[in-house]
Order: sequence, then structure tokens, then C-alpha cells
Amino acid sequence: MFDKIHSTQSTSQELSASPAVSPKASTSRTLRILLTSLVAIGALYAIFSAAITSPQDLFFVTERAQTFVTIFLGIFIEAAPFLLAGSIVSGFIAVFVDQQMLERFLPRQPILAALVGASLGIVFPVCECGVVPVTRRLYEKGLPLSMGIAFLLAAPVINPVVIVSTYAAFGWGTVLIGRIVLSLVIAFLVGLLFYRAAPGETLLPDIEHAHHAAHAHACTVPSPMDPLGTRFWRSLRTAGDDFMDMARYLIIGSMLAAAMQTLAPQAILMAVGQGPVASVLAMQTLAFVLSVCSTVDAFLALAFTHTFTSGSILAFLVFGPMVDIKSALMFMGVFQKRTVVYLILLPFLFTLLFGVFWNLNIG
Amino acid sequence: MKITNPRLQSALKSLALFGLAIFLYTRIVNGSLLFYINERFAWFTLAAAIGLALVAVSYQPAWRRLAHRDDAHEHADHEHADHAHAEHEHAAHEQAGHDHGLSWRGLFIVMLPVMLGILIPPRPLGVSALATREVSVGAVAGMPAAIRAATAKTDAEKNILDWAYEFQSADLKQVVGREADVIGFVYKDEQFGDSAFSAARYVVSCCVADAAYAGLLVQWPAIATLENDQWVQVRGHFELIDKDGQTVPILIANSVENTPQPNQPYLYP
Repeated sequence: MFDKIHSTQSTSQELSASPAVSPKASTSRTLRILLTSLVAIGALYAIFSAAITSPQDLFFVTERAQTFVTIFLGIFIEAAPFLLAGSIVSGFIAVFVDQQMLERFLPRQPILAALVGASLGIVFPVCECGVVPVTRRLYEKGLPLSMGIAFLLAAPVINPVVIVSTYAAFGWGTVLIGRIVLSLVIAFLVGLLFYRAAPGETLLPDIEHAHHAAHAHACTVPSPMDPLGTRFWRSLRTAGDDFMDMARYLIIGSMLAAAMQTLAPQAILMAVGQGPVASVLAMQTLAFVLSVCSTVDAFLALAFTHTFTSGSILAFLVFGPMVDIKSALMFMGVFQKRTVVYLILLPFLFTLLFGVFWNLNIG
Repeated sequence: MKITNPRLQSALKSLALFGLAIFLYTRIVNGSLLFYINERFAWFTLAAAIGLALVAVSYQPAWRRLAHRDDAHEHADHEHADHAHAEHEHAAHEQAGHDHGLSWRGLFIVMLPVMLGILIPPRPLGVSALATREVSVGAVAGMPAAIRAATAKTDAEKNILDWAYEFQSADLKQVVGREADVIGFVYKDEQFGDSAFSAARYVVSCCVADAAYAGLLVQWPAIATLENDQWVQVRGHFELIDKDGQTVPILIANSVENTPQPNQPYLYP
């Protein structure tokens, strides 16, 4: 399966390589154009979706715009502290952790690497917003690709806070165990699939460069024994850079999620999602669109337990923290677009598979 | 367009971070924070405001040091051994093409929440948000009863969500005749008939992204005088009616009075 991905990647790479435009410039420009047009389309649709024929229609449109702003700010204000926490962790890793230290402790063996990556969340308790800057920083320090991906996907669930909140919502039982085990397994599998991927074709060029440099032990800044105070402030400054960088993706992601919430009626999902397969698809879509924090999504999932199959509830709890609109946007700050697509599709397919299997055999 | 002057870069980043910190802080002070997130998470917002301010301050030394250099600095090769390490690191990053450079567009995007928050007067979710949400008459569909196990509230203290739980956990017959006194916003819809409306609240467990509808069906002949989104205090007692083949509780109102919007517009599970 992975060989196929690999070959399509390299051909498109060759095709897009034009001498005039450097790949980095063209990637970031296409990314910007893509993002801007997505937001513009979303906003325009939000405003003009209802044909304005009377003052009353206009009233409803402005009401909708108000709802959009409230939901957007809600998601942003809720996520900002966690993104900041992740950025600060990233800043401190940048200044205080050196590559050799990381290399010494991390396994090179692919299966072990993906496994360690999937369970790294216990050590770095970060949720889905904070995990992205931390992963990016660890890549710059030379973290193996597969381990980082397994970490990125699993950490939002495999951390003490989320486990406790899932326990609070569902108690000790199949949902809690299923959520932890499935998240670990899927993150591990996706990480493993990326084992043979070349970092140059997966990571954004600038991060790949640092990643490469870390491996070659060349061009690395020797860890200076500056006074602790200086290093502390430098960490915070790096955190600020990271926050400013990632906040752009978070903000655009929140706007897309808010636009979806303002426009797409949930009732359709409820009506469609009944069978063992359809229910899983419906809950996965809901998780993707809602973009709720993994720390509280368990409470939200409870609301659906009476109306949805248990496999689909599990899919909601496993897929949502891995990928949703806002985290997918944030992935774009780390990975190349093609990789982001795989990072959405692979967890989606695996979760679907396990969710349907659960419905047919266990639930 | 990239901002090429490094001094301006640092100054703008610092200002933007400080602006976000002040934005979050003022949301807490003016109470509009509760229009966006569950009160339980207000501590995180406060911590973020402090953290952002601290991070904003951290740019200050670099900023001052950079002020002594000419703007050609960023093109300089990084062979200057006497560079401050922070700048060396930064130069190395630039060299590696690490896109920590701020563009005007990036700055604009980061400032969007502040601009929208200031330009559009903050308001909690209202009836218009129900257009895309699940509205089930009389009861909340499968609300997490487990997590608020035994609420020892008297009937007079019960809010709309408490009643919704009551309908779910207890035998419906047992609510008949009990008195309720609740506050909610008016939601009028054809499905409620022409002498009833829903007194509604949003239930928010994390932020408004997960807001769910909770509402009581209220029978009140003078609904023509009520407007959607208007906050009302409803007093009355429950009866059971048959609606589309389903038995649902309805609050027979003795009085429906206008009331100011509560400081906490949402209910928390």
C-alpha cells in the first residue's frame, strides 16, 4: 500500500518541479491561495446562502453572521490556551533539548519507534492543539518521521486529562478501553506506514532542512551554556514565534469549522446515520466538523449514546481527536499538502474499519 | 508580503501577542467570555492572557538589541562569531528557510479574532443557531444524566436542563402538577402550535461549538406579543400532552415576564 503512495508522490514531485519557481515558494503560495479562497467561499456562502428578498431575510442573514462570529471566537478562545501551552513546550524543547540527547533515547527500530511515538503522550500531556507545535519542534530536533506521526495522532487521547474525562463520562468499560486501544493501534499503524516515507517528501521544506541538519550533526547550534535567565527568555521568544505561526492555521481552521456549524444542519447527519456503516460515517463527519477539544468530547459523545451505534460513538471518540477541521489546518504548518491528505484519510479509513467491525461483532 | 525589517517584525509580533492577551483579559472582565466558553475553562483563558503577555515581553530584549543594528542584518551570513546566540539561532533558522518570518497577511489573520470581537458586539447564541441544530420537543435527546447524578435541587431551583433530566430519568406522570420557575429565551416555531413556544437554553460543555439545545414546551396564549430571542421568566405547572403520538410534558404558564439576559446565558452539564 505504501509503495503506491511513495511512487505517486515522487512523480508529482517531478512534475511540479519547475526551474523558475522554487518548490518552497510555490507550495506556500498555493497553500495561501487555497486557504484564502476556502475562507472567502465559506464566508460568502454564509452570508448569501439565504436569498435576501425582504428585510426579514436580511435580519436572518445578519443573525447567522453573528452566530458564525460567536462560534468562531468560542473555538478560538477555547483552543488558544492549549496552543500557547504547546508552543511554550516547543520553545523550551528548542532551547533546552539537544539532538544528541534525543537520538540516544529514541529507538530507531521502526515498529518500536511507532509504538513509542503512540505512547509518548503520557510524557508530553498535550491535546490536539498543543501537539502540533511540539511535534514540529521535535521533527526539527531529528525525531523519526513515523514516531512523530504516531505521537501527533495518539497524544490527544493518550494523555491523563483525556483518559480521566472519558472515565468521568463513560465510567470503566468498553468505551474507555476501546478508545485508548484503538487510538494507540491506529496511530501506530499510520505511523508505521510512514516509516519508509522520505522526510523531504513529507515535511515542509524548512522543517525538513532542520530535521536533516539534526541528523547530519552539521550546522547545529551548539547548546550554549548561557545563564538560565537568558535561555528562559529565549525559550519564550521561540514560543512566541511558534504561536504566531500556528495561530494562523488555528484561526482559519476555527473559521471553517464555525462556517460548517452555521450552515450544515446536524439533523441530516442524524437522519442518515443509522446502519452499522452509515452511523460510523455520520459520527466521523460530525467529529470532523465540530472540532471540539479532545478533553471534553467524551461528554458530548454521551449525548449520542441512545441514538447511535456503539461503534460509531467509539469512532467519534477516536477519529475526532486525531483529525478535525482545525487540526487538519494546523497540520499544514508541518507537513506537505499530500501528507496532510493522507493524515486525514488514513485515520478516517482505519477508524471506519474498526468502527464497523465493532458494530458487527462487539457492540 | 513579508515584513523584512527584523526590528519591525519583533515589535509587531510582540504587539500582536500583547493585543491577544488584552483581548482575552477584557473578555473575562466584561463577562462576555461566558458567551463563548463554559465557565469551568475561564481559568485557562486567564492563564493564556498572562502567558501571552509574558511571551510578548520576551521579545523586548531582542528588539532593543536589534535596534542597534542596521536592517541589512538579516541578509548577513551567519559567520559572525560574536553574534548573540539568540540571533545566531534566528539567523540559522532564516538560513534554513524556517518560516518564522511574519507577513502582513499572517498578522492580519492573527488579529482577526480581536477585530471581529471588537467590531461585532458580543452576543450569546440565539434562535438563529437552532437552524442547524437538533431540536426535540420537551426533552433533551440523551443528555449525560450520569455526570450530574443526584442534583438535590428543589423544584423552584430547577433550571431548564434540570427539568430535562427529570423528564428523562423519572416517570413522566410524576411531573404532572409540579411547579416550575425557569428562565430561558423565546423560541417560536410552527412545530409548537400557535399557543405554545419553547423556553430554551443552550447547554455548553466546552465552548459554543458543542452547544446543544435544551428547551421546555410552554403553553401561553399570548405568544404573539413574544419575540424570538427575548429572555423570559416563566412560572407555571406541568401537564402531559400528546404530540405526534408522543407523550411530552408541557409547562402551563401562569406568567411569562420579560427578564434581562442572565450573566451566564448557557447552562453547564
